[in-house]
Amino acid sequence: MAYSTFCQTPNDARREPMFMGQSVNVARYDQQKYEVFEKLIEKQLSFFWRPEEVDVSKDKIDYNALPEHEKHIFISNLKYQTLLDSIQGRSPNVAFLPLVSLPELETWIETWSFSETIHSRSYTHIIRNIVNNPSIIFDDIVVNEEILKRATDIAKYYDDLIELTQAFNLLGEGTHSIHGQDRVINQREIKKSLYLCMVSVNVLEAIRFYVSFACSFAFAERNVMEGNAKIIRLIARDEALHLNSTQHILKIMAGGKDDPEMGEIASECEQQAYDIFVKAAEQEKDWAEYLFKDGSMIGLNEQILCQYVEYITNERMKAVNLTPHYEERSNPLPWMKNWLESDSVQVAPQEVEVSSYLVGQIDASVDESEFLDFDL
Amino acid sequence: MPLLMNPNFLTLTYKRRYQKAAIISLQGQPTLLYAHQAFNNLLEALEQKKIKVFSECRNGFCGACKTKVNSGEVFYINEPLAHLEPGECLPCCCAPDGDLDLDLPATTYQGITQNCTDLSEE
Repeated sequence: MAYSTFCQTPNDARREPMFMGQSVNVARYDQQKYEVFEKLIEKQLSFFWRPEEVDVSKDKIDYNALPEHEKHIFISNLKYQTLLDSIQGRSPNVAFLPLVSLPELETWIETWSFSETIHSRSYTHIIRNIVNNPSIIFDDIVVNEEILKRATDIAKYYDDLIELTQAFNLLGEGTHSIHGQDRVINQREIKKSLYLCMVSVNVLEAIRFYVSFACSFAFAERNVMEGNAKIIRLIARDEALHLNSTQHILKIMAGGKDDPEMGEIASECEQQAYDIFVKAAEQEKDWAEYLFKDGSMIGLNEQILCQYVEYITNERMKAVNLTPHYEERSNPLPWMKNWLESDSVQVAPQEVEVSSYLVGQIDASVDESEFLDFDL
Repeated sequence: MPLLMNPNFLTLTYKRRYQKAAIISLQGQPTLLYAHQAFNNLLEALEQKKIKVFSECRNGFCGACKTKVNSGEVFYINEPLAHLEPGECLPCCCAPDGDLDLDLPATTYQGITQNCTDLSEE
């Protein structure tokens, strides 16, 4: 099954598995195997926002008044999030699209990646507003040890999957020498790599992002850097949706109904998936240590942030049917709830109080029975 | 027909506000009385009784508040987006359809003494 941008063999996409079936030909959505992906697309589109809508000019004043160690916390988080979204803005497209075989899933992946590019643009918007020379910040991302440590683990799974897929498309099944190393290339290896990659993406969106979110919202709890928090809140809302989608995909994979081989791989790789979660959580705890190396901020310190990482890791592991790794505890950052609640997201400037700005949501259907008790 | 398939489910939801109050139990322990006119959704009711439920978006798309139902039925006020296995519900966008037993540890329920009065008032 070599990849083709328009496979001319007629097929019924509903009979294909999510990945590694026949490549998608007609982008049709009248018949769908998993309707949920279309709902995700619609939700994501209804969430559309642009960074320019949020005014961050007051943040410059706030930023300049912050003590040095808090500046470090703020900027480091922005750098890390920039890295995460740089990866997420392209990798799902590059890695998953050549393998996908359902039109609705294909479009969801594209919609998902696109929204990550908005996030990337918003970091530039924030950074441009608070410092005079954004290059100092951006240039540091690829040389900062602490960021690179984690970047390696995030990119590794994507890179592996991309390498396998490309080798498979070019050379087919068999043992091939790639960059001087012999690698076994077959469908099962690709599926395994795909499964682990999906787990790692889930971890990225479910745990890694939330550490930075916690810091951004902790600033806003003190009424500083509020423009930034407004943007991060929009980002958090998108990420919650993406995280739901990867959980969905993982569950469908593990269920085995979609692709029995994938189901086998999922149960085979349970320990590896577990380890990905734990390793990421530990890396995030190291990151917390780095953030607070020069001092804590009001309302948040290394200990609380580490507890939050453990708490959220447990919740995310439960969500994909893994046994929680850490000790059960109550939420150490209860105020996060207020920031993650999507109904209080201010979407358009004119919508200060109101919830999600819904587009095309008028319901024109009126049941006749509505008027039964009317007398004239 | 499942409620969500019904184009008039909004109207139905409105009528449901006059349903008999439902008893919500946590692992078999009756914990709260859900009066339909008092709450917007199940999550709100649980939170009011200080029962710890992990939640994030509160709109049915993040799936954080997913909870197992031991017995009973729920109906959805807004269609949820998160993946639900049979026997799971999303408290942030549903309400009980009759008495309900949730698989939440009753120990997370704090402040029994101070809330007893609330129960009798309802």
